Amino acid sequence: MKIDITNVSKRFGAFAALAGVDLEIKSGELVALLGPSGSGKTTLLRIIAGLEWPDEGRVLFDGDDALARSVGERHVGFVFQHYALFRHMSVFENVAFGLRVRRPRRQRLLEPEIRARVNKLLELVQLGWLADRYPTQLSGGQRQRVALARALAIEPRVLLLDEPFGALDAKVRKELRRWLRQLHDEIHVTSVFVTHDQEEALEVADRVVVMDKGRIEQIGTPTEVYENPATAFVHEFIGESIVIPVTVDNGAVQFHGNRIDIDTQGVTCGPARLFVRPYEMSIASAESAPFQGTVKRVHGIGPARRVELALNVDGHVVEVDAPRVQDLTVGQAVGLSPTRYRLFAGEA
Amino acid sequence: MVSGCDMAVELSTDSELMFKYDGTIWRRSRLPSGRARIRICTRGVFVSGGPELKSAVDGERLVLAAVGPWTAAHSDALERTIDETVATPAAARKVEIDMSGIDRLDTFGAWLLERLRRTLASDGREAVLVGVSDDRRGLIEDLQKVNLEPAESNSHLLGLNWLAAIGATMAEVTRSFLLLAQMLGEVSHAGVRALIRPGSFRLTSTVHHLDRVGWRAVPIILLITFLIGAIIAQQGIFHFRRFGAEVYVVDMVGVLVLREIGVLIVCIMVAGRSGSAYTAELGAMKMREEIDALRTMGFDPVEVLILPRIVAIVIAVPILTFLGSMAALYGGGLVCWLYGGMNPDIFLSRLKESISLNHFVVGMVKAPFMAMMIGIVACVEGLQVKGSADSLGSQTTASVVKSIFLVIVLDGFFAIFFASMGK
Repeated sequence: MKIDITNVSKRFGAFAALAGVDLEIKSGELVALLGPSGSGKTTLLRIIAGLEWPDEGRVLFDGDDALARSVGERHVGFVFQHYALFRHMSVFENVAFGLRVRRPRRQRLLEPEIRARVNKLLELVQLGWLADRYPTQLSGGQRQRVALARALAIEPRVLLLDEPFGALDAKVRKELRRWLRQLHDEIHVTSVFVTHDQEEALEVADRVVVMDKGRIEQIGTPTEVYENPATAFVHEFIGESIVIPVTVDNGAVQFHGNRIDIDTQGVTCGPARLFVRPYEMSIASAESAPFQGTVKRVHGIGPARRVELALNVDGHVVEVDAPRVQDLTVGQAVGLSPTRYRLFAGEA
Repeated sequence: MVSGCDMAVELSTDSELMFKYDGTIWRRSRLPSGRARIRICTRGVFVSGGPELKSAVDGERLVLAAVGPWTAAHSDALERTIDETVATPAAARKVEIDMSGIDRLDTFGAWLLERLRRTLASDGREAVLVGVSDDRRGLIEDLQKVNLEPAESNSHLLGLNWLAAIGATMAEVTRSFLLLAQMLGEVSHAGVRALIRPGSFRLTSTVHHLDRVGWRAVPIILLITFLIGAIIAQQGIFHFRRFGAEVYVVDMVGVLVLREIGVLIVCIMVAGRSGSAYTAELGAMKMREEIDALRTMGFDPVEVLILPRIVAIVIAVPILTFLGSMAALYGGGLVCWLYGGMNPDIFLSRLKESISLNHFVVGMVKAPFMAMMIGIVACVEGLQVKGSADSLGSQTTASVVKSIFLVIVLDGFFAIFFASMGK
């Protein structure tokens, strides 16, 4: 199902949780809402679900006004961060709950049908053998998979996940997100999930929506948002960045008064920030490079080593990835030249 | 010369003004061309040029040169000048405000310049004050530190905080009454739906709550009401003995227990025991997002969670009231016999004479209404719980306090009602 969100705003008292958000989610897509806490991503998800109503704006499900319907009539599956399983019911009963008490009597399924459907769902989330246990007897990862099976039981038109792996430990989290991706490829239900973990969003989602302070900063595939960040916030939030404050004056980039050989990238005048990925900053001889620094520390294992450098002019410490073969010693004066970089106007 | 008068002069070019008065040569440093004012008073002659703000574009910079006296005496002219400057937008992104041409400056003038700088900065321009002499630097720096945030309400200075507090409390009270009314409406709606479609009513859950609110509360209710009945009788005997009116203790125990004490004690016990449990359960479910989960699965939390609880408490409280009243009468009778030396037969016959069915009915009629009040307050408070454990605790406390308070208020209304009915 396709979801269209137009100009949605929501305020909680004086705090603007969402400020004019526009978003289009295609049918069968897996979209991640990514942002720091307080960026409005959960509010947006709850508005899509119908657990929260926007102050203004429209939400359309396949062209129908979703705001005219209550949460129960929207047929959404919602997975909560803390599972929200019913503790006095077994795993089987939890999943069957939505089927068993569906209101109009005629629509209600017969017991054998319910049984078959729940068992199928539990197989899908690979928990068939736990059907008779109670939620408190399960691990966090298992509980979250039960919650997912429960959300899928009512055959939702949209699956919404609110930080689904937020309460799990790192290893289980990694396992589950791979599993979620596989599951989505299998059932192809339009899914939106909220996360503050950029790694998770980049790995799992078809498209990533980066949010900050109630606004959408960028929408794009994981590669797009990583390779071509639209704003300074996106560059800083997704992936590691080296940030160096510079000024642009008369069409040239200046670093503490010295002109450096860097393209202004359309930034006209005033303070700016230079963003470079740690592996796109090469360490060269001191003379020709735009920045000069001193090696403070070299550490790390793997193909690249992490080098901490202090810039000569202001002592600003940057962390650069250097190939293992490069010979660097602490105290050595080196030059830094970015091979690929982005320049964004504005002060830090 | 006439002292104390102002006179305006026109200065054609930048000129040095010098004149002699009273044998002294008065001289002012260079004045800009334009209007100047000469003020003569008993102490001397003061001459000044009008304040000005000259703008000049220098490359990408806009230089605003402030000259003349920037003091409160020239406030009209200064404000106008500043307004004009702000109103004519310049393309330049960098603005320098040159203060070197100012011959006199007071806080008013300095603040105007600082305000100008801030206005320009808030337009996204880079504005700086330049040419600040050392003696003025301190003033300018202080002003730059002055907070621009809207000043906090100074009502506390006027001692009006209590008024604000009363207002806030009244708003809060109104809000909680509205929430109670809303919940009453929702529960009634769910109740009517359950009557139309009995299949949707959750009987299992109702029986479960009936067990917890009613059956399991019986021992403690019996114990407490028995003791209360006994204490009332003992106090009655102790004090009535002086008038030789011991026999009227039976009237007092009977009427008091059946009309008021029985139902009140039961309601207070139920509010503390079950009302708080309702609030805590619903609050915990709210915290764990289970209520949201129910809603996303298409259930109405009022129908699934609240209606069974309310039905259970409305059934349980009248039963407990009846049991409690009996236990209190039993306690009273026992004390009359053991402490007052009144034969149980006399107690019973006196009781039969002194109380009518009315007294019993009055007590029993109140019970379901009070039960409803406790249940609704408890459920409203439970759903008000926010995400934290703190809020769960405070809502549970609020639930108990509010329901006991409202039960007693309701009892007062019933007293008035029955009095006017003549019962």
